[in-house]
Order: sequence, then C-alpha cells, then structure tokens
Amino acid sequence: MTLTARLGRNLVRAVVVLFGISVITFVLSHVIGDPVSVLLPLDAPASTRASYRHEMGLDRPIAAQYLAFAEDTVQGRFGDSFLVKKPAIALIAERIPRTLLLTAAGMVIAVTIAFPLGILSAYRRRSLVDSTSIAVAVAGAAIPIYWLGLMLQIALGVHLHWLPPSGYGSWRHLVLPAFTLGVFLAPVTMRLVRSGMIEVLNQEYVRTARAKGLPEGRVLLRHAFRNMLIPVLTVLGLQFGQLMGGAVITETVFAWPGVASLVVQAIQSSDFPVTQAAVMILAVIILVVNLSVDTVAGTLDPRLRA
Amino acid sequence: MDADTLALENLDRWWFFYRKGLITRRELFQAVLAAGSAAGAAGLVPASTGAPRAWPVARAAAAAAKDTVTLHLNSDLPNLDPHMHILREEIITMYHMFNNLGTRDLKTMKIGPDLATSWKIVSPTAWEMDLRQGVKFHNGDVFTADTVKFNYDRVLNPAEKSPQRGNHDAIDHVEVLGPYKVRIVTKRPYPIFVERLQNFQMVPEKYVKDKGDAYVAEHPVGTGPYKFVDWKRGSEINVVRNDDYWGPKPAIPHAKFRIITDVATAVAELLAGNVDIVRYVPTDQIATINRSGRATAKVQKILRVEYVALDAAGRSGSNPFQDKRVRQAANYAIDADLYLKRLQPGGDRTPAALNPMHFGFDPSIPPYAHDPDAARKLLAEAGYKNGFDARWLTSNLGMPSYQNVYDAMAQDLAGAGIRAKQQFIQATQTLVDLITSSKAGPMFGFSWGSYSVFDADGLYWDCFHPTSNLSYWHHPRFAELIEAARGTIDPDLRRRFYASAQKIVHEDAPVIFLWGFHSVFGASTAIDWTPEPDEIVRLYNVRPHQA
Repeated sequence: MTLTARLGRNLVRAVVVLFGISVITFVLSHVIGDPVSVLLPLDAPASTRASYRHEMGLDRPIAAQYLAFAEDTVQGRFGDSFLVKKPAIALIAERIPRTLLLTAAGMVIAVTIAFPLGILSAYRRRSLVDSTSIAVAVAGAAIPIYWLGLMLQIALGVHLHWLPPSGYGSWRHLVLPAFTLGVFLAPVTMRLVRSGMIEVLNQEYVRTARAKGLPEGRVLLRHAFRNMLIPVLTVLGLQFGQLMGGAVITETVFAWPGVASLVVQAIQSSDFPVTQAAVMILAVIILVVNLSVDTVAGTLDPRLRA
Repeated sequence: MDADTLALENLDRWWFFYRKGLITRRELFQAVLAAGSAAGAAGLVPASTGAPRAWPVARAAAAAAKDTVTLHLNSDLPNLDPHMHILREEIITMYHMFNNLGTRDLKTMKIGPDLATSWKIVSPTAWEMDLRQGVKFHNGDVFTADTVKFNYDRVLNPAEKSPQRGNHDAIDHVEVLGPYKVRIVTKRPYPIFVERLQNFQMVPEKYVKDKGDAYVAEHPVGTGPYKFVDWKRGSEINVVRNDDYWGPKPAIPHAKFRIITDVATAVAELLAGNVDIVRYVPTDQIATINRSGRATAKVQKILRVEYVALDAAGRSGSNPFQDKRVRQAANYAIDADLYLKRLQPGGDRTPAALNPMHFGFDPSIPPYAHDPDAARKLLAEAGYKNGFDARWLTSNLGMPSYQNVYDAMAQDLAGAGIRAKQQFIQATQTLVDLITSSKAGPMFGFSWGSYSVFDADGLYWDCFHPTSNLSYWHHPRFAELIEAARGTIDPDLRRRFYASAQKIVHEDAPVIFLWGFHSVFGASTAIDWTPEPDEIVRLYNVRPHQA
C-alpha cells in the first residue's frame, strides 16, 4: 500500500474512534450530574429551573442534544464553561501546553532511565545489573504514582528544600512532577527495551557484525539498537495515553495547572462543556500521536504495514 | 557561616580551579560529594527525627521582612466578580479587594460599620443608612450613595443572572436621599437585613458600566485593603497593599491566593514554608503539622453544622422514617459525644440543628442521649422489631475526618436495628442535585454554612421550611413559627418564636442531629493569626510573627 493510501485508511479509522468517544463522553457526562443545579442557587424556584433548562436546551430529547453537540464539536464550538462563562475551548487551550510540557518531560526522563537500563540488562543477561533492573522495574510498576509523587514532594520539597513542592512557573517546578511521571512510565518501557534488545541480539546479522570484527559498542548501538527501536517507539507512542492518565494524578498532587487537573475539576463540578471538550481534544491528540507513530513505523519497516 | 553554606559557596570555586587545571577531576568529584553529602546528611538526619531543615539561603530569606502572606484555596475561582458566584473561596478572596456596607466585629460577633457608618430602621420595611465619605475605588472612582443603589440594582436585576439574587430578594428598591445617604425599602419586614450587609461587596458603577461584566470579572476594582495585581488561572491570584486605603492598612504588603486542589499538597507546602494558611486540614495531619516546627494546627469553631436528614415527608417514597418514633430511635442509637471526643477535634452539639452561635439558639434543650435500649424499644413500638435496611447517601461535607464518623455511626445504628448502607457520592453538587429532585431519601448527609448569617433564619428557612427543596419534612406549625419570626424585627419576639420552633424540631426529629464543626486550620509560625468563626480568612489582619 502506498503511503497516502495507508494514511487515508488510518485517518478513517481515527474518525470512527473519535465518533465512538464523542458518544461515550456525551452520554456519560449527562448521566453524572445536572448542570442546572450547578448554576442556580439552591433555593431557586422550580419555574426558574425549568426556564433555565429550556434556555440551555436541556429539555430536548437526548438524541437531539447529541446531534447539536456533534455539529458544534466538529466546528470546534464546545460552548461556554458552566462555571467560568468563558469558552471551554479557551480554557483548555490555555492549559494544554502545560500538560504537553509535563508529559514530554516525563517521557524524556522515562527514556533516560529505561533505555540505558534496558540495553544493559539485555546485553548482560542474568547478571547483577539485569536482576537489579528487573527488580527496580517491578517495584516501579507496583508503586502507586500518587504515593511516589507525595514521597518526592515531602522528601525533596518539604524536608530538604531542594525543589518547590508544587506549583508552576520555573524549571524547578517541573522537575518533581516530570520525574514522577518518568518513573511511572519507565518500568514498562525498560522491560520492552530489554526484550526488544534480547530478540535483536539473537539475530543473525548481529552475529555477522561481530564476526566482521566490529567493536562491541558499534554492534550494540549502530546495528542492534536501531532495529530494536521501531517496535519500542511504536509502543512508546501508545504509552502516551498512559502518560495522560498519569498526568491526572501528577497534576493534582503537584498543583500543576494543566488540562488533566482541569478535567478532574470539571467532572467534579458537572461542568459538561469543559469535560466534553477536554476529553475530545485529548482523544484527538492521542489519536494523532498514534497515527503518526503507526505511519512512521510503517514507513521505516515494511513488515509493520498492516 | 555554617559548614554547608561554605561548601556551597566553594563549589564554584572548585569548578574554577578544575578548569584551570589546578585540581584533578577526582578532587573535584570529592568536593561535590562533600558539599552534597554535608547538606544531604544534615538535611536527612534531622528530617528523620521530625524537624525539617531549612537550606541556609532559604532561612536567610525567611528571616528578612515577611513580604507576602499566602492563603491556600482548594479550587480555582470561576471569576473575580463579587456578585457572580456562590463559592466560599471567592467570598474570602473578594473580601480582600472589596468592602461591604457592614462588617463583622470578630470580638463581639456583631455587624459594625464598614462602607456604611450607621443605619437605623425607620419603618418595618425601610432602613436608612449613612455612608462613609472620602472612600475611593482603586481606579479613582468615588464611592457614593449612587454606588449603593447601583449595586443592589445589579444583583437584583434578573437579566444579570446573579446567583446571589436570592440572598437579597427581600429588598424591593434603594432610594438615594443625598450624596451619602440611602433608604433601603424591603418587600416585607427583613430581620436579617443587617446580617446580610456583611456579605455583599460594593463594585464601582462607572467602571462596570464602561467596561462591561466580562472585563470586570477578570479585572476587579474595589475599595478594599488590597488591590488586584494578576490572576494566573488555575495557579494563583496576587494582590498588593492599597496604600490609599481608607481604613487600617494591612501589615504585609503582598498577598497571594494559591490554588492547590489536593489537601496533602497544601499541607506539604505549609510545611515547606511556601503557604501560610491552609484551610480544612484533615485531623490526622494535626500531629504532623504541630511537630514540624514550621506551622501549628489551629482549631476554630465555625458556623457550619451537619446532620443526617431523614425522609419524614416521604419525598422519595414511603419509608420507615415517616414514623416519628423511628426518627427518634435513630437519634438515640448514635453516640455523638463519643464521636466528638474520639473522632473529632471538637464540635458543638446541635440539639435542634441550630449552632449555638446562631441567634435564637435555645441552650435549654438537651441533646439526645446515647440510649440503644430506648432506640430498640421505639423501633419495636413502631413495628420494626427486627429492624430495617436503609440507603444512606454520604459525601465530603466539610466535617473533619468524616469517614471515621460515618463508619462509627453506621455501626451504632445497625446495633439498634437500623442497617444503614452508606453510598458515598464524590461530587457534593451531585448529592445536592439528588436532594433537590426528591431522590435522596430515606437518609442523606447534609451540611449548611448559613451564608455566614449568624441567625436561626439562615438555617431554618433554607433547610426546614416546607417550600424549600432541601427540606424532607413538612410541619405546618413549625412553618408558621419561622414565618412569624422572619416577619418581625423585635428580637425578643423572634427568640420566643425560635424557642418554640426548636422544641418542635427536637421532638419531631426530622434529622439525626450531629454538630457544629470545629474546623482545623494550619498556620505558619511566621505569622500571627487566629482563625475566624465566620469561615472568612482575613489576610489583612495577619501580622508577621515577631520572634
């Protein structure tokens, strides 16, 4: 299949997924709470509530409400936040760069931890390095991210005063949350790198490279590593979704004003427009990432073209 | 200069020496390790004994004059327009940039002058008020009688859609009698008129008209002790001292409201010295805070009360609580005094749902004693010898360590035969939706802050009047009594009406009576501050602690 054909087909799949997500988001947020009670004072008489409900279009049949929602969504109109009276999309646009910064930094840290450890483990299988790395990976996967964040905050922020315990504003504020996210993501990545490397190191061309007399470093990095990279990168792209999940907790613990903490607050206050808009936009971002990773991987390695 | 400061200072010297080739890489490495471990060891060892160690640089900064006082808010504000919100957090923030017509004297708990210097009642439905002269808004606009009229018109105007309109709907209109005199005409006698004065901030007329509501909601201009600086959404709000303030100027030049949604993070910031006041500290953190040496936990009784409402009126369908004996049994079954002693940092029992601080509270009514035998007897009389099951909706309603209390209550209720199954609701708003749509029965938890109105009307009307959608109890005689109390300004008459009303509430037991909260605040040792009983933190009263 040509590149454009593959891109086209992946795009169609993405649109279908988006449609499904929009339906689920819409239904769920209408099940959770009643926006009229959020907006009006508690003692508002029933007549005020009814007229408010009518104004907001909440008394139409749910299918009609969904169609209106879908039409607006496609045009990027998510409505005003119930709590803040500003367009939901503006609130999210303000915060998305901060979350992306955090997740990117977390990814960098995860890769910095996972890749060297993974490669070393694969290279020196069943050595002390390998056992320790696996133990660390298991521990890292088992440690709840909330607890880890809190411990880092207390140890490095409160007791040692090396870094600010929470907040946003300087590179110093980024270190602890990014590190928490990185440690959250590293174990799985490390295991992937390790098994990827092991598989590659068993290949014939690696033996050939060694037989040719190449120094071990070149064998590892120039030949084995590159070939292992593609499937690992694909999974890293998929892990992006995991990162977003981790970001929800990290942003709350470290008071990082990103889109993930905004979604949590929106859900708790039944703020439909912001919830729907945030979920849709995050879904789009994750889909774009996955799409790009798929396409790039398929381009680099023809065996991966489905 | 102590050891680790020296090590820090010398680090860049070591680097310089290394670049110049005067020391080897090994020696540089050792120097780094030494500096790091000196600080680290010094930092870690005392940390394990509970006293955190300040970096010398940070300590020096703290010793310098305290420049900023920081309060923690647990959610971001929707806007900065004092008329367009219903949040306690925003009331607190607005109090710093705006003034009200009256303000509470925290020693006497009575409402005293603020932007209004005096007021008197001239007829059952009219009040006359003299206003303070020479008050300017932060942008230079002048505060006059026209300002007062504009503000009341604005909040009462249905087109403005202010969520606070209901608080002031007893007011019919405002007449301007002179540049600094107004007459406020009410639709009916309005006994809590004075109480309401303390929670209605004054905005500048010309500014609002020129700039429009949307702009004003992000650029607040008031007459208050602090002026708005900026609002980093989701992160913090900064204000600076108003040096032209007409009243006593705040001691600390800058104030910051930091938005931290997670209370554990807020406590961490308190202990790190970045936040000065934390509200709603969980009780299990009290010991940690007091041990830290950087902050203390302060307990303050507040107006907010909690109770477990029982569906006496059958709004959610027929249920055992429609029988008065069953409701009384529920009250006998629980051991509130024990919970207060063991599970709470204190609390004030509310035998008829009113807090002792509400005007009209009758101290002669005894709270229900813990009497499981009486409970079982009443249940048997009502026909529930083998008890019954009931769904109990709970949420985080502001009670410290609420889950422990609910679990203890569930156990005691079950012991008497009322097998209450808790169903926890995460978002309080959702619980409120269920309550107002008659779906919350047969049992649900509820708390009420009375909008800081220290008057029985502030609770009884909204929570127990038959026309309120929060009330699952319809008692015509009680309704008559509180309507009469609302319709007169004679305090003795009102007290009599409320005394009778409380006897009815106590005997008819529409709820399981709990208590008025003692709220826990965390306060940094760098400041002198006492928590306010009306739940409004006033940073302009905070002074730096003189060691």
